Amino acid sequence: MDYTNANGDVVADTGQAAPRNRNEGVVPDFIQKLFNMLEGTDENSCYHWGRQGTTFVIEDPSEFAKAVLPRRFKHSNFSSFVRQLNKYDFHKIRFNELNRKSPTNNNTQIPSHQVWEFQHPLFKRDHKHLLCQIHRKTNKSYQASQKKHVNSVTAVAAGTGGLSLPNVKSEPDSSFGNYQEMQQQIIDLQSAHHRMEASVAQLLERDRYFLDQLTELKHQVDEKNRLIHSLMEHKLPPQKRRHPSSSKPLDELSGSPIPSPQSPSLKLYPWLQQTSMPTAAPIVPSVTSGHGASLPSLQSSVNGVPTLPSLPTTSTSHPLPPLIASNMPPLHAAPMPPVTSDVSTPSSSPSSVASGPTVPSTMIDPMTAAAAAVVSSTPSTTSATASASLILPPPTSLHDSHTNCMTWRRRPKVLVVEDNETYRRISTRCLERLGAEYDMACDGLEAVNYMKATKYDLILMDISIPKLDGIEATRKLRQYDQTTPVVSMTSSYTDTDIDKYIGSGMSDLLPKPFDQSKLYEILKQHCTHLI
Amino acid sequence: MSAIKETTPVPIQDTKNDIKESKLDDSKKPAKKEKVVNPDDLIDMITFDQLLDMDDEDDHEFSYSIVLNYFEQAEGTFKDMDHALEKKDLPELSRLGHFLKGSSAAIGLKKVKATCEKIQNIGNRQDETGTSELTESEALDKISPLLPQVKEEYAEAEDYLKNFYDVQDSK
Repeated sequence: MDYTNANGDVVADTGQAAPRNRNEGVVPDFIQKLFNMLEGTDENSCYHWGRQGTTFVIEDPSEFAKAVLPRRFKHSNFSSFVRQLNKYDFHKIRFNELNRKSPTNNNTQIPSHQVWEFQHPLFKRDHKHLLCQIHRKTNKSYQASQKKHVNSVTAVAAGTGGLSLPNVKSEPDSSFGNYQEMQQQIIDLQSAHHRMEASVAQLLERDRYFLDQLTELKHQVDEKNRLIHSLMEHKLPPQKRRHPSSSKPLDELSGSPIPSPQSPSLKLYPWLQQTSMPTAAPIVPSVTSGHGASLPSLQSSVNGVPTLPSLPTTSTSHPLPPLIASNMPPLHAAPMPPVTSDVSTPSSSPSSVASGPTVPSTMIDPMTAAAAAVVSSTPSTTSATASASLILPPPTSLHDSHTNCMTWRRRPKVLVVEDNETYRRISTRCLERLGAEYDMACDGLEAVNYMKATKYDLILMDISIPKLDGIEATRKLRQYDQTTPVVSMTSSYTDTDIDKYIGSGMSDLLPKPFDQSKLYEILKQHCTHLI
Repeated sequence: MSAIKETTPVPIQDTKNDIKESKLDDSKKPAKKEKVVNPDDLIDMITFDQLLDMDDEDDHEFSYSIVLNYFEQAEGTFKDMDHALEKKDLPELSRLGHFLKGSSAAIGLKKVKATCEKIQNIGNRQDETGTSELTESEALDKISPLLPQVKEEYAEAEDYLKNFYDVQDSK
């Protein structure tokens, strides 16, 4: 009598011992059932022992599935049965074109692919005690066997040679493992890639932020500097105010920004004669439209602004920006006060009641206002600037030529060669005020002696001196010294004279009578390395 | 600071007002205003201002000393010029003229400087414009009147400057 055990399998009540063997361990129900089935059949049924009881054979899978499986098991699916066999690690043994007699069909040749033979090392007819050692395989091995089974099924269905069993067993293992590994690696790489992208984006963000902050700070510092300079100018002694007062006649100054208009040195700076004040409406707007990206240029343009913004209405003059040399800032700082009073008078009416002290303040107000405007507007703009504003070189920290004393790293040594005591005293006084050291020579021979003894940073040489004139003295100097700048101080500067001076090796011309600002410029120009 | 501000514009205004008068009178009027009446053609205010610039704020010590020095120099030069004229030493006269021209220009004394320049040129045997040649006698002839002239102009300037500084000191 068949009965259903706990597993739901139909167990044949063969009267034999329950699925407990003499030995330890429990024989799985399926195995027990199978064993009993095989014991209870003969050669005539579609399944039986094979090979002396070491295997069992299913002659006709379809018959087996139709008749046997429903009776013994819950289903009639041959594949399920085979699967279960595989679970218990039964191996299907292949036939190689071996025909076997089918017991059901007498003497009929059955194609070998229809015959299934299963083998398990522990499933033997005469070794019943081994049955309990048959266990279901673990997942991994089960999957391997599944693969193997699949391969074997397809191979059998194809009916060809195909892969041999051991190979079939091993390859799925490794390839599947590899596949899984690679899959995992890809996933890891992708996540790493995402992380890196995120961090790079973060870094870029931070970089941009820092740049903006830096620009902002720079603007503020520059603005503060400008305010300080403005205050310093405001507190300067009268000499600054004299220039506005002495330049009251506005007409005079419109053409000659430099107080000595006949100065031949203007030949060196012809562009100063072209325009009174080389400030630019284009420069100021281009500064305001400037981009803070290039900081040095921005700093230069912002520093250049203080000298410019007091004349916002002047027409543009393009010669200036490209021609800005290092000597430009002092040069046009000198003419600036007169011209500033010039223009600021009409433009800013209340404060233009031009008594002296208000002039600096009018300078300061437009300056600070424009500076503030520039500073506030510059960070807000993003467009690239015109190159004009970027040409302005960074001027020296003291752009005001009327500062009494330059800040030198080292005091420049100047030799003053002049026979006229008045001029000597004036020159030395100027040099004192500009912070230079000086020696005095009264004639050419003395000058040569001094020059041989000491290396000077600048030599102011009068031409008409006794014993050895300035040109000769310079020639003597140039025999062994090519670098020391020699500036000729003279009241005669015709073209022939200038040629003579240059021919003797002179570096520059300072016309007599000279003024302090001109001397200052020359000093600055030739001693920029000492600033 | 304020003191200087007031003083420097004042001479200019005064002199400008008085140009008309002085051109008629051709003389100084020291009593009329605080400042000496001197037209712009005596002294170049721009240059003189620059000299004053070199002073310290309220103190004109430096420029005054320069001016005093100039006085000495000029008087000595005049003496030398007289000697040179006696010796008919034209080159020396030229050199002296050049020398004094320089200092005069430094202070801004236009007339004195102009005359000195003439002396310099003629002493070099060139006429006043500096173009054509002169004979020695011609040159000497031309130079002779120049010496008293320059002295006169110098006296004018001297007075002006003295007044200027006197007023400065009193303020």
